[in-house]
Amino acid sequence: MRRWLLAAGLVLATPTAHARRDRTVAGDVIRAARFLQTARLDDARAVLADLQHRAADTLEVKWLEAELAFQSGDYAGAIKQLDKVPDDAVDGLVGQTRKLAESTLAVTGSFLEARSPGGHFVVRYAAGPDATIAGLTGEVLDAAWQAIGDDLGMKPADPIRVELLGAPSDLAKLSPLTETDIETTGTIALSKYNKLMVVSPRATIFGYPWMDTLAHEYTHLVVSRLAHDAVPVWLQEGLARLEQTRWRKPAELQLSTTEQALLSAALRKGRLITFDEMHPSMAKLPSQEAAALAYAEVYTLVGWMQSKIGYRGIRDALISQRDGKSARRAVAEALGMSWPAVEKEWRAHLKGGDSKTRAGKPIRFAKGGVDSENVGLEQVNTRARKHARLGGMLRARGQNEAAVVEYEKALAGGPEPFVAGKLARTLVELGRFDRAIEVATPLVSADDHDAVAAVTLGMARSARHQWREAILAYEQALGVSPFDPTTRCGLAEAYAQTKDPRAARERSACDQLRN
Amino acid sequence: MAVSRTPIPTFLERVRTLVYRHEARRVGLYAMAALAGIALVLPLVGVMVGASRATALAVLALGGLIIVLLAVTAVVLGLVAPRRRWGGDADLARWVGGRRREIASDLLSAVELTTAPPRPGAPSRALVDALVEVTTTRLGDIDPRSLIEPSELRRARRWALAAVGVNLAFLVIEPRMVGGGWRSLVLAHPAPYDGARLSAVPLVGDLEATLTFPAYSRRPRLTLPSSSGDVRGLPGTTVALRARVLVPAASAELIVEPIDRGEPRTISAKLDGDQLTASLTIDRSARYRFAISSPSGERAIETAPRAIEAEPDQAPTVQLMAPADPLDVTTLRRVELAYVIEDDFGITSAELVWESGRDKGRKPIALESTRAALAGAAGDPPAPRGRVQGKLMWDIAELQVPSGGEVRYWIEAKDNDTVGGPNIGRSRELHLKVVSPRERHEETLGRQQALAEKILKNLGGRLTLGDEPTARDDLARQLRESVVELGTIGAAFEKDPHASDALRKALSQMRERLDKLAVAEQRLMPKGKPPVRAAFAGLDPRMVGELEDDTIVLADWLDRERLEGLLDVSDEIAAHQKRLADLLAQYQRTKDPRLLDEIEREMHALDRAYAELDRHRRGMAEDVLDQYVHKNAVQAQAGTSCLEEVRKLVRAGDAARAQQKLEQCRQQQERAASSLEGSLASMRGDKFTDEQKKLDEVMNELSDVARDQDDIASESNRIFESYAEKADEVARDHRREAAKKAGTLIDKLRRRLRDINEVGLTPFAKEELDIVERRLADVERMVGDGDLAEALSMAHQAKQSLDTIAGELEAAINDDPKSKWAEATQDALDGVQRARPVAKELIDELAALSPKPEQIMSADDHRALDRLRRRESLTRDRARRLGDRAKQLGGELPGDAGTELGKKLGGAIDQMGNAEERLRMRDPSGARAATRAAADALAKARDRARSAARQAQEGAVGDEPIRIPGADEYRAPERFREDLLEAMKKKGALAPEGYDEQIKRYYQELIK
Repeated sequence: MRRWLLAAGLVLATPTAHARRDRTVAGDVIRAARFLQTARLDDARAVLADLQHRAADTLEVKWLEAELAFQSGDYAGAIKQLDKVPDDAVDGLVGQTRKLAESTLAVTGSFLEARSPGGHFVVRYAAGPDATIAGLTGEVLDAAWQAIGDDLGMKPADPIRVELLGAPSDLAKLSPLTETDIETTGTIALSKYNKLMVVSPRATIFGYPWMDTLAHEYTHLVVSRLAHDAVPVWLQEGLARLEQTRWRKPAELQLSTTEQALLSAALRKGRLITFDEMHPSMAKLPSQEAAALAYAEVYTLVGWMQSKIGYRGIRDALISQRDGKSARRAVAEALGMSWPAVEKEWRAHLKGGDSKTRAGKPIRFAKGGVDSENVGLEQVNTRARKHARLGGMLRARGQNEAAVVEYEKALAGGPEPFVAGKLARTLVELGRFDRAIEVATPLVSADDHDAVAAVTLGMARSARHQWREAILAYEQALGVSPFDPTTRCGLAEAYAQTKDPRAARERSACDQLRN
Repeated sequence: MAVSRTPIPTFLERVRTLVYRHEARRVGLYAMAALAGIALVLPLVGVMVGASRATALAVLALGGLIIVLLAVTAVVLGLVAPRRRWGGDADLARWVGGRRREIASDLLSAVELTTAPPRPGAPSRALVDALVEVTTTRLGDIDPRSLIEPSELRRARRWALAAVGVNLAFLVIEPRMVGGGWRSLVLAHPAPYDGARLSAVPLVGDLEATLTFPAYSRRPRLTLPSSSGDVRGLPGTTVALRARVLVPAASAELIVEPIDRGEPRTISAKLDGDQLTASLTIDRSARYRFAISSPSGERAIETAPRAIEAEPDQAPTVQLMAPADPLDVTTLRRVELAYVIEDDFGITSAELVWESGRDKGRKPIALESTRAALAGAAGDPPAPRGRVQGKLMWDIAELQVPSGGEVRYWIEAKDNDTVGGPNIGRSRELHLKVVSPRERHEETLGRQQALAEKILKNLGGRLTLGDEPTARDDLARQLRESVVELGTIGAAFEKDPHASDALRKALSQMRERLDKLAVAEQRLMPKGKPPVRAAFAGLDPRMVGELEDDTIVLADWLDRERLEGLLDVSDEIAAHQKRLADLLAQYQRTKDPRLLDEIEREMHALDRAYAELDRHRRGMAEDVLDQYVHKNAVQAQAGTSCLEEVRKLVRAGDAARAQQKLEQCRQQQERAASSLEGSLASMRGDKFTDEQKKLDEVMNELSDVARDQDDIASESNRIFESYAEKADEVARDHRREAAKKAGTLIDKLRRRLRDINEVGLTPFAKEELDIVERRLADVERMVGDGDLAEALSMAHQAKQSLDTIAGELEAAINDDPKSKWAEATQDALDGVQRARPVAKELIDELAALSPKPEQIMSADDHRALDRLRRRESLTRDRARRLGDRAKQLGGELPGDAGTELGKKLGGAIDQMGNAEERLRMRDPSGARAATRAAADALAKARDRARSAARQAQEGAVGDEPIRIPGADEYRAPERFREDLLEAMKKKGALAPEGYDEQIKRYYQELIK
């Protein structure tokens, strides 16, 4: 934001620097900059076409052209536009754009492209394993395009670029985020510069709900376009969170256990984060816990709004914001009540507590090291941790029978999803499928993001020739950990057994990942 | 059938022919042997005879005579005698009879009777014929050739061959001797000197020799008046001879005769009246004579030769000194080497040479600077004898030797001989072993890891142990092996500076427990019978529980040690970066191109360290990295990229930007290291909770104390600033007087500082000494500016640093009184003690010159100082209590944190006491310096405690090289020798004639 304001300010501040520039050109430059800032590329393109005739040689116009090219995905063109333009021109924005374009080109220059089946997305990815999810990405996003478009009333006509990145460091190169930000906040995807940037699940140890994440980021893009980027972060996040599963199921609120706990505690103590506190940015909140609570709040608020006024009401609120109303006013008007009343009713709704919960897990990035089977052990209760750790150590060394003994000891003190998941997988490897199904089934039901339990269940069900159940389990795992050959190969077999045409796709992915 | 018969005469004729031939051959061969013997003896006699022609002729004649006699004898014995002996048939028949007894009588009778004249009583003709008939028949069975004894001829042939063979061998082995011998016998010797007359008296007089030595020797031209004519000089020396001819002369020449072998050569001399001049060049030792041709044509030559002695140019002698031999050195250190190279004329180059397996290297030693320094110091041209001495810093990073590798090294020096080519001198060979305590520690960790695997495997086996008896046997045996291995690992950690007491204790206790269980299990196992499972019902759960705990303990320690190892490598990177920064700064200042090599090496070392960091990271457990190590904590790749940019800038010659970039790299590294320290603390907090909790408690208290001290120092500084401003106004008039008085004391103090034995300083003391020197420069500048208050403050700081050094050195001596450095450290301490009173004197002088604080300071200022003093007292008490607590906790804190904290806090408490005293004295300048010093000491204590908590070794990765103990003292005897040699030369020059040799010997003894 700062760079855009800076650019606009700079243009205004230097109207007389060049004799042939007049106020109209200056004004158009500001307009073009604003269009670019608010995701209105077509509008920006029209203004720039005019500026090309009138002031093509000015540094500002060159920079705008470069920025437009960059946001349109023409990174080499952006760099070319800035050829011989000094880095410090346009108050240093030229240097920033050039650096970003160069690093983006360096990362994505060799990427391959795949069009989604519906033609609404262009998926760009590095050759290699990412090819096995490029097609799935298109399928998920096409579904999201349809569902979210129906919900929010916006279906972009131009194909949206999606870049699948190999590592968090690539995302850091393509965005203002640092690697530390990415690791600390767990940011794995971004909707910015008129495209979606998503870190491939292969950069993580256990995967992450990447399909929902794609839909989440796509929601941000749609909302930005719809409201000309006027929607505040809290509402953006609430909407994206609600819409991220719409590509696969009807809208519903599903909080993680952590979020549920945070909300319950805050309600009990009367310490919910107010919407005033959320302004201007969630990032300004005093702690990560406060931010997590704020996200949970806005998610429930939007869910509640949707249940009250449906998507039409939400669309109206967004349009009102595009037309200049504040988020609070727009929401209140859409709900037909005052803002205090909105807050009061929403709190009352929260106390009702009818939302579903699931276990929340942080995304774990791969950092190398020697495989220990114990990543994530810290989530196990300290009493059970010793045996869980020993189980992991034994399992990593192929002593599966002994590992089962230790895992069972760890579970003796109470349920531990992490340990249960490991136990189930070990049991499958030992061929004890019935016990594995018994252990894994509750885990899969409790957390649709638990790929370990899901794939284990898939394997056990397959071994028992329960193909339909196996497919359900594998598909759940696919949404989190698509680079696990067990998932892809298991799914290929299950599809083949049920004569599902997707068997070929999965077989191809299986072969590619195994090689 | 008719029998062929040979008549007796025919038979005898055949035999005769054969006998004649046989005898001729036999005698001929013996004659040949004798001739060969003579041919052997004659040249030897010729050699012995030598130049005596008469003897030679006599020998030759005798030889000839012997040969003639030999020939006659041969003819007589070979030809004449046989014919005389066996010319008659009867003689021959008798000879045949001697060889064939069975026919001897008949044959002789037949021959004699056939030829006997008729006589009365002679046998009848018929009887004789019958005898002849029978004998003839019997002779038919005898082959005449069988009568000849072949061994006789063989013997003669052997003699002949042997004699000829010896002759030929001698000819081959000593052809010159044989040839020479024959020559001296056969040929007449040429007349010496072409028949010149030999003169027993000298032909020239008043001989003067002027020696012009080769340029490289830098010897001045030497004129020897009234010389005997004997000359001595280096090869290449030109000798100009001038003499008066004592006999009438038409021409003159010099005959130069080599001493050993070779032909004499003649050098023409010029005659000018009776003056003769000639010139020759010495190439080797020889003799020469003067030859004079008189106007009448008679040529005379001197009998007594004169000597030309070629003086050898010796190879340089090289002495190499190292801190120790053999020397154990870590891969990151620099080693100080000292050398003394001496040559009779001059040294052109020297190199440090090393070999380790296939790695061979040479490092040129810069001699010029040493020589120039010597020349500059003396104001004279370089010493003609060619002597250089100096020190050399050898960076072990230059060696491509793995840890444990052994290196041989020496110094080679070349002299400046341009005539015969440079002579090469070589020092004795020294040895070093590249070791790394860290790598050694990691090797032991590797064994610990293997043991942990064994114990885990044992646990796994026991968790699933069935009724199979052999399985239990195997597990029991493996467990006993593990117990033994635990003992050896514990022993390996015993002297390992990177291993903590807590680790040793944990392993030792584990060993004890497991040993007990192993023994108990052994007792339960029946001999010769399969064990019954029920018998182990009581033991198995205990055993499994113990193995579970041990597995966790070992894994936790391994994780912790590996994380600490990561920090050790991180420390190494920081140390290399610091060295690189220093080198870049030096290069920026001096632009000395030799520094570029060092910079390159340092960057190479950094590359290796980053690779090491990455290797360590990859060796860590995935869950440890995930849970504790933040992404930015191990940035080997980022570090390498950053360094790559520095490298590019250095290679582009942009040292300034390289420095800036390196600074960024250092900051990045600092952040990473700090994050890594956090990771370690976090892990200790989780897995070694008690230790970390206590450390946190102590460190928190230390932080509080340090913060309070910082506040006190800030307040003290504020009071001082106010005081200084007022004092400055008052003191401006005293500027000149102050500069004069302080200047003298500063010079005196600097001299004392220079006298401090640097070898005995610890790395920290050396840093402090630099501070003292900087503060002295500040004092000088401040006095010059007339800012006496500030000057006084700086002087206080200098004094405090000296006090700190003294404390540090005392502590070092107390820590290890038997250290090899102890003596040098004591020297250094003595030096510091000598400097302290001068610093005190400087303070007193500046204080006397400064207006008294009470004259300047307000009542509010006084009250503020009193308040500060009370605060300082309270803070000091807290620090003391903290120190006591740290000592009390000792082993309960991780690593060496307790000991190190106690030690460092002690220093800080002393500084705080000093500050309190200054505040009591209402000395704002002293108070400012002392409070700041106390704050700095606390900060250092905090840093040290943090690194000691992970067993980081102080100074292990510092840039302080390993120095030669007493290297500086070494100069004194060297200097003494120099002086003696100089004196020796002077004395020699002034000594009464004829006493030179005695004086020379006297001084040589003295030098020895």
